[in-house]
Amino acid sequence: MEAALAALHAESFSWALACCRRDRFLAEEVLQVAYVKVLDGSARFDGRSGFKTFLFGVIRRTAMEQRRARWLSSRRLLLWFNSRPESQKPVDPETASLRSERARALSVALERLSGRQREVLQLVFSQDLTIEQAASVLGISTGSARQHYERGKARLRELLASEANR
Amino acid sequence: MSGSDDRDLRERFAELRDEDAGSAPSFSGVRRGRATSTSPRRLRFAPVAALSIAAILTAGALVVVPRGPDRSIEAAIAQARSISSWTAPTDAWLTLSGFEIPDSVPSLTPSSVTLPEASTTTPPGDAP
Repeated sequence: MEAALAALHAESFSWALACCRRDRFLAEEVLQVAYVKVLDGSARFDGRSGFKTFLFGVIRRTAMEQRRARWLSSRRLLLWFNSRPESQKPVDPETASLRSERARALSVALERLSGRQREVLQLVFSQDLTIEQAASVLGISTGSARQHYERGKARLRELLASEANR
Repeated sequence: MSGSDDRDLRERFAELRDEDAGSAPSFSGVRRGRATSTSPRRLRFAPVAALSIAAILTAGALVVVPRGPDRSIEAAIAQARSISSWTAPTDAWLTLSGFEIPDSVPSLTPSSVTLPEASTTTPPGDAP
């Protein structure tokens, strides 16, 4: 189980960030609690869906719980993060700048979508899930997920186009 | 929509995902947990939360629940007056004939009593 979690760790972190509206502090907290839930059995994988789908569902539910409880721990987390040594991979600065500009534009545009649209698009485009799997993660019907996907995609294109024309 | 648009979106999402993954904390660090599970932390704040909720509910109840009748001094005086002037309907039964007599009995004082004078003659049986 731990090996399966480790294999999906980077994707899980990306999904946790999406669930936490790009809040890194909260995303790490969410991920840690979600791992504990999976490993101590309080969130049980019954094999009805794929492990990734199951794990992303746990992360999403945990993010919702943690957002509610966040005000209790936000200060402590901030202190911890400020005292933590940074570990960054070396990246070519020019490429990093260009990529990060496009990523930033996408983040800004995603923020302007509805929560459901954002989640579905993130799961499909970023995490390579099918719409059916995304619906399972979000606990909604496939038809509803498909609707969020189509509308969200159209809106996202508009937003990115208007951003590019500025 | 066109496949090229989808491809563009996929590329953008992939860039965002790679950026996220690049800044992800290590699995072991997250797994070990810089902090213990949130449950104990929540429990630590539970008494404070419970007390806060109780205080808020009490304050709300005091504001919402209507007060009793007005306890102003005037109202209290009027109430006292009405109580003192009240008489029972059966009071008349306690008035019996002859009850006025004690009020009319004169008081006895030494000056108002005339005692017969003491006799100096010997009783008839004592004659010689």
